[in-house]
Amino acid sequence: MLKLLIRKEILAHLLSYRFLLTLGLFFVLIVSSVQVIAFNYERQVQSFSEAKRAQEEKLKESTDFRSLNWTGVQMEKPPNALSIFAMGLEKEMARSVLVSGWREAKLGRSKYANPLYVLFSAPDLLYIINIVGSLLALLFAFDAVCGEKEEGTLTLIMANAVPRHIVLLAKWIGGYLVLLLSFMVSILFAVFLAQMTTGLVFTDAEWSAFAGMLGVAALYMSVFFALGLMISTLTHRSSTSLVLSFLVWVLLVLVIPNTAPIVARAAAAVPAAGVIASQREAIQREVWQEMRSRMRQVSRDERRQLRDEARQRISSETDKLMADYLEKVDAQIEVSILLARISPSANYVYATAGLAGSGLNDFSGLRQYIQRYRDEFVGWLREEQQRRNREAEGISDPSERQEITDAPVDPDDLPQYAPPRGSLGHVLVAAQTDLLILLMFNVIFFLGAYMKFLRYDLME
Amino acid sequence: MLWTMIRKEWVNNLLELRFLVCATLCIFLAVVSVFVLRADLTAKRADFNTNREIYRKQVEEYDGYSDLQRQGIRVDRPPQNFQVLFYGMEKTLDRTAVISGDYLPGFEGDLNTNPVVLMFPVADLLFVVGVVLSLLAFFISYDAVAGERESGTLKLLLSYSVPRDIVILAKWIGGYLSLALPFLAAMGLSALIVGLSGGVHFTAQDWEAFLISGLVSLLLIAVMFSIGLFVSVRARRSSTAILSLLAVWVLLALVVPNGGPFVAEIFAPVPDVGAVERQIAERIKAASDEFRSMFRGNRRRMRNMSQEDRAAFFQEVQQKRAKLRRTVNEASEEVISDFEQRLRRQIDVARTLTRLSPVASYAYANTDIGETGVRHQRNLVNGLRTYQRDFARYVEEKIEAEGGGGDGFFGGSQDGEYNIEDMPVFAHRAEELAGRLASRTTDVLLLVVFSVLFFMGAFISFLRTDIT
Repeated sequence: MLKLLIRKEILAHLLSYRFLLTLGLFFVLIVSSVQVIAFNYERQVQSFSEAKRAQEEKLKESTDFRSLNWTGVQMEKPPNALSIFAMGLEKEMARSVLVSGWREAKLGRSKYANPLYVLFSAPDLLYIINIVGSLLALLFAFDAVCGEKEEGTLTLIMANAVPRHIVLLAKWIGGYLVLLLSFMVSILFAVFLAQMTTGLVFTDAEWSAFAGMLGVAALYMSVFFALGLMISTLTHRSSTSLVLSFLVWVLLVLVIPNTAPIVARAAAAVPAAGVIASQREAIQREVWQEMRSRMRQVSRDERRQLRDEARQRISSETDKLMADYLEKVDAQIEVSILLARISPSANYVYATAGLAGSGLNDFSGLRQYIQRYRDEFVGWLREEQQRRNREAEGISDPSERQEITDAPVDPDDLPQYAPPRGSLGHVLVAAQTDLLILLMFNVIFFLGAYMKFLRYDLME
Repeated sequence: MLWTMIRKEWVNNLLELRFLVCATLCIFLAVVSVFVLRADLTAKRADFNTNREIYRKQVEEYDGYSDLQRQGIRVDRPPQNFQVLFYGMEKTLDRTAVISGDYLPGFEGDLNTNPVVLMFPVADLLFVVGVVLSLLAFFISYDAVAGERESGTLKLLLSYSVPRDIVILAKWIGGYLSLALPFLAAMGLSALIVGLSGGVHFTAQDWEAFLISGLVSLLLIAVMFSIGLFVSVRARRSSTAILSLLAVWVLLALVVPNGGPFVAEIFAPVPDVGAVERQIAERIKAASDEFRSMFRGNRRRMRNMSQEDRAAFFQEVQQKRAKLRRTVNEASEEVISDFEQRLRRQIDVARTLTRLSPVASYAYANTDIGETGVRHQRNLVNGLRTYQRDFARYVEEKIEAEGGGGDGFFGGSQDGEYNIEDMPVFAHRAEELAGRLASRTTDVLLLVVFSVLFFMGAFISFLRTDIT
C-alpha cells in the first residue's frame, strides 16, 4: 500500500512543472558554481606552488643566516580542495603567514583582492543548499496536504481504506526522494564535469568528507521538507501555506543566522585590539627595565643568564595575556554559534564547513598551529645557530668561518609547515551537536505534521 | 476611474494575509537590523577611540624619531555611520594599518578575532530590501493578473467600459503602493532609531544620502514589482507564475551578484598578492643588497674606527638607507599601481557581468552612496597612502632638523628633543555626496531602465492578452 502511494507521489512530482524548475535550478546553479570555483581553486593551487618555490629559492640564495631571525619565512597553507564546495573561512585562512623570531606571526594580505568578495558571500554549494535548497524543499512540500484538499483528491484517497499515517508517510518519502534525486543528479554531474575540465583531484579522505557533506545536505533539506509538510497540514489553502512557508523560511534562513553573530559581538564584547597590543608592550618594557637595572651590577656571564630569563618571563607573561584574551574571543565565538543555532540553516553551515575543513574549528586550529609553528621555528633557529657555531669553532680564517655560519638554509631542513586537518571521525564528533539539532528539527516537524494530519479536516 | 481602480487594488491587497505578512516582516526586519547594527557601530566606535588613544600613547613613548620612522604608528579603519544601514565593506576583518617610514600601507587583520560574521551574509537594510523585499514584491505581484484570470474576475472587470491600460496601470500603482508604504514606514522607523540614538551621529550630508538611498530602494522595488507583474500577465496560471518568479528571484537576488567576482577572476585575472610582493622584492633587491653589504664584515672595522671615520661611515649609511627607502617606495608604488589598475578592471568586469541583476546594481549604488562600498574602500586606502607620505616627510624633516648623523646607529641623536605634538593625524574625510552619486549613475539609470522596460512589457502584454 505504502509503495503504491509513494509511487503515485513520485510520479505526480516528476510530471509537475515544479520538478522541472527544481531540477533546472539545481543543475544550472550547482554545475556553474562548482565549475567556476574549481577554476578559481586551480589558480590558487598554482599561486601556492609559485609562492612556495619562490620562498625556497630565497632561502637557498640567502647568505645571511643571522638575519633569518628578523626577516623570517613566508609560509603558505596549501589550498583546500573541498573548499570549492564550502568556502567558509578559507578566504581568511588562505593568507600567507610571516613567521619570524622577533615578533608574533603576521598574516599577509588577502589573496582575494577584489573587494566584491567581501560585499557578497561566495555562491558555493554550501550557499546554494543553504538558501536555494531549503527554499525548494519548502516549495516541494507546502501544498502536499492542503493543495490536495483544494483539488478535492484528498477526500478521494481517504475514501479508500488507507490509514492516514500511511498517506502522510508516502507524501514525505515520495516528495523527498524526488527532491533528493534532482539534487544528487546535479551535484554528481557537477563534480564529474569539474574533474574532467580542471585539475581537481580528491584524496580518499576528501571523498569521504564530500560524501558526508552530501549526507548533511540531504538531512538539511529533509528538515525543510518536513517543515513544509507541517505547514501544509496547518493550513487549508495552498496560498496561505505558501505565504506562511516563506515567512518562516525568511526568518530561519535569512534573518536568524545573519543577525546572530552581530548580536553576539555586542553581547559578549572583547577588549579592543589596541588594548592587548599596549599591554604586551608594557610587559616587555617593564621586564627589560627591571633586568637592565639588575644587569649593571653583575658579571658578563650572569648577564646572559639574565637576558634569557627576561626573554622567558616576557614570553610566559605574554602567553598568559594572550591566552586570557583568546579565551574571551572564543567565548564570543561560542555565543555567536549558540545564538545562530536556533536556525537549522546555521547548524547546516557549521557542519558542512567543518566537513570541508573551512569551518570555525579549522580556523582556530590554524591559529593555534601558527603559534606552535613559530615556537618550533624559533627553537630550530637557535639549534641551527648553535650547530653552526660548533662547526665553525675550530676554524681560524674568518671568511671561512663566515661561510659556515652564514651558509644558505636548505628549505627541507626547516620545520615542516603543514596545518593539520581533522580526520573525518574527528570532524563528525565536532559536528555532532549540529547533526543532532538537525535531526531533532526533522523529528519535531514530522511529528507536528503527523499529529496535525491525523486530525485534519478533509471537508470544511 | 483610475483612482477607483487603484483604491480597489489597494483595499484588495490590504485585506490579504500576505500583505500583513509582508508589511510586518519588512518593518520588523528593518527595525531589528538597524537596532543590532547600531549596537555594533557603537562598540566599533568605542574600540576605535580606545585604540586611537593607545596608539598615540605608544608613539609618544618611543625613544626618538628614528623609532617613529622604523616602527611607525598604527591607524584603525574608521567606522562608517552608514554601516547601520548598509554594512558593505565594514564586514572585513582587516582593520589596522601600520604607517611607518617605508612601504605602502594597507589595512591588515589577524587571526585573533571572531570570524563567525564572515560565515553568513549580514542582515542589514541592504539585504532586507535587496533580498527579502524583492521576494515580497514577487509575492504581491505574481497573481495580480494571473490570479484574477483564474478566478474569472478579470473577465467580469473588463466587461465594464474600463480601458485595459487603466486596469494594468491601476494594478501597478495599487500593488506598488502596498509595497512602498511598509517600506517607507520601515525607513521612517530606521531614521527614528538612528536619529534618537546616541551612537550614530548622522550629518546633514548623511541624511541627504539616506533619502537618496531610500529613493534607490524604491526604484529597486519598482523593478522587482514590474518583473512580477510582467510574469503574471504572461503566465497562464498563478502557480506557474510564482514558481517561475521564485527561480528568477533566486538568480537575480542570490546568485548573479555573488557569482560576479568569481567569474571576473576568469575573464580578467589579477596577479596573486604574493606574486606582487615578490615582484617588488625583486625590484629592490639590488638596492637592499648594496645597503646590507655595507655592514657585512664591517662590524669589527666599525669598532676600531676613529671618531671622524665613524661619522663619515654613518653619513654613508644614512644616504644608502635613504636611497633604499626611495627605491622601495618607487618600486612598490609602480608595481602596486599596475596591480590596482588590473584589479579595477576586474572589478569593472564583475560589475558589468552582474548588472544583469537589478539587485546587484542596487547593492553597488547604495553601498557607494552610503560610503561603505568599493569606492569608499579605494578612497580610504588612497587616504592612508597620502597620510603615509605626510608622515614620512614629517619624520624625515624632524630627523634632519636634529642634525642627522649623531650617535645613534640609524641616525638621529637619542638625546634630542622628541616631541610629536605637530605630527600629522590620519583623518578620513567623507567624500562629497555629488561625487558618490556621479560614480553610480549607471546603476541608478539601469534600475530606471529595467523598471520602465518591464512595466512596458507587462503593459503591452496585457493589452493583447487573452482573458478567457
